[in-house]
Amino acid sequence: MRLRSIEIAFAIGATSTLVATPAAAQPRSEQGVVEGEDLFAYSLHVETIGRLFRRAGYDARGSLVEGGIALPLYNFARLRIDDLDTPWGDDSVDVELGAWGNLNLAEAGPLQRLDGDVQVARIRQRFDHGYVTLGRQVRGGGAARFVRFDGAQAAVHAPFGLGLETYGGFTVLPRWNQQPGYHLLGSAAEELVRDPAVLQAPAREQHWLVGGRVYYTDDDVIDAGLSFHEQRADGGLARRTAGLDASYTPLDLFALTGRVLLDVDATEVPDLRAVLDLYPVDSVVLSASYQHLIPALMLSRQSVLSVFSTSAFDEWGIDGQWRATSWLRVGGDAYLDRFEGGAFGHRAGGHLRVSNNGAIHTVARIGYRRVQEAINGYHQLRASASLRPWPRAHLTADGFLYLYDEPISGVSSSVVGVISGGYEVARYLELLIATSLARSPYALTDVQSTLRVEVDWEGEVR
Amino acid sequence: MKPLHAWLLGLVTVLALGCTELLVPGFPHRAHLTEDRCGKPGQPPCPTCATCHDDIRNDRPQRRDDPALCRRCHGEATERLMAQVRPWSHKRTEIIFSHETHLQLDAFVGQCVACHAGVTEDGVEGEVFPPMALCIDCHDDGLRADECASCHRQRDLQRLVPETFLRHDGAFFRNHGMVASRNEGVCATCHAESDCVRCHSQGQPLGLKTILPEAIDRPLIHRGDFVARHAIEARSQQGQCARCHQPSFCDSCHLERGVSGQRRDGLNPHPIGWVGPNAGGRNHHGRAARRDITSCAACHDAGPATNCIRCHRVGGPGGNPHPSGWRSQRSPDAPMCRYCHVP
Repeated sequence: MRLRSIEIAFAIGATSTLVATPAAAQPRSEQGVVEGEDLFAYSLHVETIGRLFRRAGYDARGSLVEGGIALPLYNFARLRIDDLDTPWGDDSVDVELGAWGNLNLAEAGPLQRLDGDVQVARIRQRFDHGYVTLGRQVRGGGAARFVRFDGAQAAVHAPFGLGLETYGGFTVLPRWNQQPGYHLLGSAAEELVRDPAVLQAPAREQHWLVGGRVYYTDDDVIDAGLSFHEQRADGGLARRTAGLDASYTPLDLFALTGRVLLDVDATEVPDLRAVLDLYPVDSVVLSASYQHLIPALMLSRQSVLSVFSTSAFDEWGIDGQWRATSWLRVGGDAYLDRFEGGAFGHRAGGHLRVSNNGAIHTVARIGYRRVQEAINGYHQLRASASLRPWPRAHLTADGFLYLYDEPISGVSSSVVGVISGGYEVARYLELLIATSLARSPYALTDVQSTLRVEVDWEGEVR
Repeated sequence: MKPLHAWLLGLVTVLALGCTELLVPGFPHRAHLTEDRCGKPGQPPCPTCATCHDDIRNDRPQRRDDPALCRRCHGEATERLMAQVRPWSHKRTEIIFSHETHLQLDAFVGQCVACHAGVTEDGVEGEVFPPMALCIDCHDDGLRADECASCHRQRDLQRLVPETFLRHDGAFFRNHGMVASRNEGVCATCHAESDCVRCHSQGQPLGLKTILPEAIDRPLIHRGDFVARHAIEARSQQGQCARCHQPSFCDSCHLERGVSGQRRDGLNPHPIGWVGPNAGGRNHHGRAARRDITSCAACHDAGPATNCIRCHRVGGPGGNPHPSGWRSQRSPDAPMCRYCHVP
């Protein structure tokens, strides 16, 4: 499976320009539709990103160890085909394939590893009142939170706004859970222990999930669902959760959304959220939110640490944005956290955004952010700008300054800057080059360069 | 000059250029449509919208920036005047729309201003594009949120941010998971499932801040110096990291840096008195673990090899680690329970 994943990622990237021939992308109106012919849409997105940097880091003893030049080549490809015909219905099948591959070009030995994975590979058959999806896919929201699995998902939209969604399959394991390809400069023995190439392959039949959701929807006013999710890891229980989610939008003026999860194993509420969005006028958006979380229950129930705590914290927040004029936007947010035992923390920030749609499309943005928790905190200043000097070219600059309340590794500040320039070579091909410069508690100087080649093609074919 | 200073100087220059650009006007619609030196004897006829935009009224490709259009009134001064004008050149995504059909409807009676109102108002530069809400004033009976491609090109949808349906502003970023769970079909109109995975997959070698350095408006969590501030963020929003990352993800770095409980020769990042009763009679690690066990898990979650078990197993000196009121539906024979509850 692993080799196949890599092959798919690179094969799509290498053949993208061959597939993306202009002849295949005529507008529907120019082609004409003949009855009985299958007219379907496709979109292809391919990114190839080359990076250049020099490795250096501290070993466990605190000694600086310098490595060689690194030149990893990353490739991401996504192919989406919609509205294929089947004997069961016209324009009723959608297919999606997404994969990435990575190869370190300038390094030797274990660091020059060809890596990759299929992110999504699914086919969906749509019916008048539901759908069935097979393959590698994702499921989000409700009790499931966010999961990726190889299996099936089906939905039935019944009359009177009722519906049922169900899914199940083998969990897509985070095979590269330990920072793939990011070998620092520790001891070789430690690296080998964690190298996916020498790790014992997990038994996938012991990692599976199943779940479902019943819902009621009344057009755009009420939407409510009751969901259940069970996930197994290493043959044991990882998560067994029930969820209730709802949204209520009686007027264009506001929307009320909420979700509560119940950990069935611990009979606790690990996650509760409620959000009120207000739109008093078109130019203003206000949100007020509340969150209750038990961090220990975010861990797998296979983790021995998950039974060490049931402490919760509560968070209250407000968020607002105001489009003062066509060229000026102002935004801000503030969150207050109350931890068990009475300690408080807070996060707050604001930004100003100025844009100009003149001959040179320009966006300038400046922002401030403050985060404080029980042990440390920081002030963040950010200034960024984007220019489009020519219709096909854009330049951006993004700078951050951090001031820490307590020094981190003896350093009290960080500075990070990123500049980038992009050019649309053709309607479907764009190049971008970026350079970042950072000075932080973990790097005296960090300079990295990135080159991105992006192919975007879509069309309709028979 | 130090590289840092040079970079900051560059940033200031870019910002200054950006602010300068704010002063450059677009095409002077006001001057053309409210000009009173026309229509009288010896003067050219007063221009209307159709004078320049007649092509688009009939759904033909529009001739923009065509000197021939301007020359009809401005004659030899055309080139000089065009050089003074910096027309609005921002690329707007294409709309599948028939001006000809709409202008024939009773609601418009052939008038452009029904949609393009305000083009002559002070401060307005360039083209005045109607908001989508104006479309919905008439199309609300048949316009559905999952049919964006009726008016927008599919390729453009990923670059547009909805302002009428599913507004993506305010606290949307924080709550998009809840929205997505109820509107999967709508989300799929613009977003592929791969797009979800690009953010939510921890397996990718590249983060979005590296892939999208130009997306300065996108609220990417790990942007800036996240490595330095990650501990602050983790403590500030306890449990949030665990929504996407498993503890072993954190520990892979901590192990390399020698601050993991799994490294025998590792350095101890905790202060004196962290474990066991200290001079103040307080047990710091217990209180910290109760408050945010996910931070502990970042270094100490190693299954049966977890070092916490050495003291906290049944009969161990650490005592019962379960908090007051703790309960589980599982059998004590469950493999994880048996790490401590040895039969």
